[in-house]
Amino acid sequence: MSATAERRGWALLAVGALAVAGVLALLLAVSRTPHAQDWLPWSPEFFYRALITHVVLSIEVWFLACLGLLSATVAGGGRSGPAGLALAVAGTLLLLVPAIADQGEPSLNNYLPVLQHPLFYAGLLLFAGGIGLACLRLLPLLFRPPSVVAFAVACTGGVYFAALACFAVAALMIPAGTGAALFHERLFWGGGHVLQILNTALLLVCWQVLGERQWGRGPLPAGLTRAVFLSLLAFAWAAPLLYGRAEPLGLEHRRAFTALLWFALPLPSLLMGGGVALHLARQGGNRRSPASLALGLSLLVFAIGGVAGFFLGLADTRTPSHYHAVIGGVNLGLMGLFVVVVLPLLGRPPSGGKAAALQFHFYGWGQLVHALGFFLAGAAGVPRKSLGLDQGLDSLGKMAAMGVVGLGGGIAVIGGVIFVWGALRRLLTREAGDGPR
Amino acid sequence: MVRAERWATVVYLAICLVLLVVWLSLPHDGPATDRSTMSEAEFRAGWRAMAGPDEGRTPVRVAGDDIYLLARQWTFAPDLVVAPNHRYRVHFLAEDVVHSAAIGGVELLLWPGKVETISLTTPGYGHLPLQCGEYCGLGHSRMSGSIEVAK
Ligand SMILES: [Cu+2]
Repeated sequence: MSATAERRGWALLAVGALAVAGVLALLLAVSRTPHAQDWLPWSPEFFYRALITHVVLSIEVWFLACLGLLSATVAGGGRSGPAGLALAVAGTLLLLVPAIADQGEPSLNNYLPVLQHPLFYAGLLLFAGGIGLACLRLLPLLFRPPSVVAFAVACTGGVYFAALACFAVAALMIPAGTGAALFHERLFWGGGHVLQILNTALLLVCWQVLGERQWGRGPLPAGLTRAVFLSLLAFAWAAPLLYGRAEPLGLEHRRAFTALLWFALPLPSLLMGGGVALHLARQGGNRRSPASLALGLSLLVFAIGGVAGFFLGLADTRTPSHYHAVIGGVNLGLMGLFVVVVLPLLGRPPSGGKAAALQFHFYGWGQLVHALGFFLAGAAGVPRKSLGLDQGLDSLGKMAAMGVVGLGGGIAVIGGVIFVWGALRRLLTREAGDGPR
Repeated sequence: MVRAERWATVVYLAICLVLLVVWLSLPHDGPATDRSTMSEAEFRAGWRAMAGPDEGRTPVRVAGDDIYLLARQWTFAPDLVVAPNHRYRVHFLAEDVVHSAAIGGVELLLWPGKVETISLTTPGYGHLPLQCGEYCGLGHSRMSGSIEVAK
């Protein structure tokens, strides 16, 4: 498999995961809208299964396939990449099976919710191994990076291995016989937090790449940029050390990892985000270019999500308000990466003009409205992660707020559909330069 | 300019190093709560006495200084009415799986069969929020207690 074919494979996996997740998201957005649930035929169990599969596809598979794609871009060639891609694709297909078959006890634990089904676990393991295999070739780049972007991607890969280390240590330390709910919560707690460092690093990589395209240089001076990524790597690798000090079932363990993100993420995000904001304010004519739109909107949505983070820990929908906005910000950065860099690199430049701009506007503003609705609903007292039946929508304010959630979700889905449709169509047409697959 | 950038990088890395060391050396021991010596049997006897003949199916007005709350998927039983500005010993017991009780600004992890106790003073009026803070199954997000403060 050529390096180009491998990159195309990762891109297809990433966008394909979004396509399937998008179908599920539409169902979920409708189900969250007042009164719509009355005419939906599925059982509550199926909704949990759809929700869990949606989360895993749209967060884990999409982000980590993008990491695989980045690894193939800065360190293509060799055998480990295509092998990792094959594993990741097989894993993704496997973990879809339980939801389609409507099987497996759902667990809505934080970070990596699971369906308790052997195929789901096997899929997760294969997928995680595939990403790890693809990221192995990044490690030499930590010591001899040919560019700032290569170093940044290498650090992001290093963060991924820290997350794997946390999952492994947790699995070894949690005693046998621990109840399923607590087991899953604590198995994925530490590594799940490290994956948030990874998501942030991915966004910062996007800002760097898009900045180089838009302004001819990154948001920050090169040395400082390297330091930013190095610090994320250092914090990620501090995480496995914590397991020796606070055992994974304790309350202290839970708190320490919440604190980790407060220590690790604000400073790098503020610095890089500040750099992006300064460049955007100073830049000249091409403000409507896809790169500029992706930079501006991802910064805006990510920043709003960061502010909503101050309301974390409340058991209402203000927590998803933070989470959706931050993830939405990362998504906008990655969408920009695809439109501006990945598709042209694969010989499939997207059509420019208004259609290209629309996807960013719909997705970005939709995510903002969606998060705002969640925030208002949470302030009015709607509990998080519940279905229509137990939302307790007993007041007009709560119902209006959840209506806003559905509206924003719908607008964002339109933007997502434009992106996924356009990217998939271009990735699936065979070009002369593809070579044998 | 290059010099300023180098300084910025050094200062940034120094700040991160400090943050890293502080995070790793945060007090990772638990909050100071009263270690309960109450046995499960004592708790059950106290709970029955407090809940009364209908076993807490209607809200219970607490008479003494002790409050007994059973945590189970996905509720704290029973619903309570407590006196304002009064110091209580609140005892918790999880019946089925691990829960936690987030109340009065602290959180206690509740292991099945092990009684946890905390002392707290009720506010002058309103509600005393009580929530489960540990994922305990699909209904976790709506697992809260009802403690009303009234004369
Ligand atoms: Cu709970």
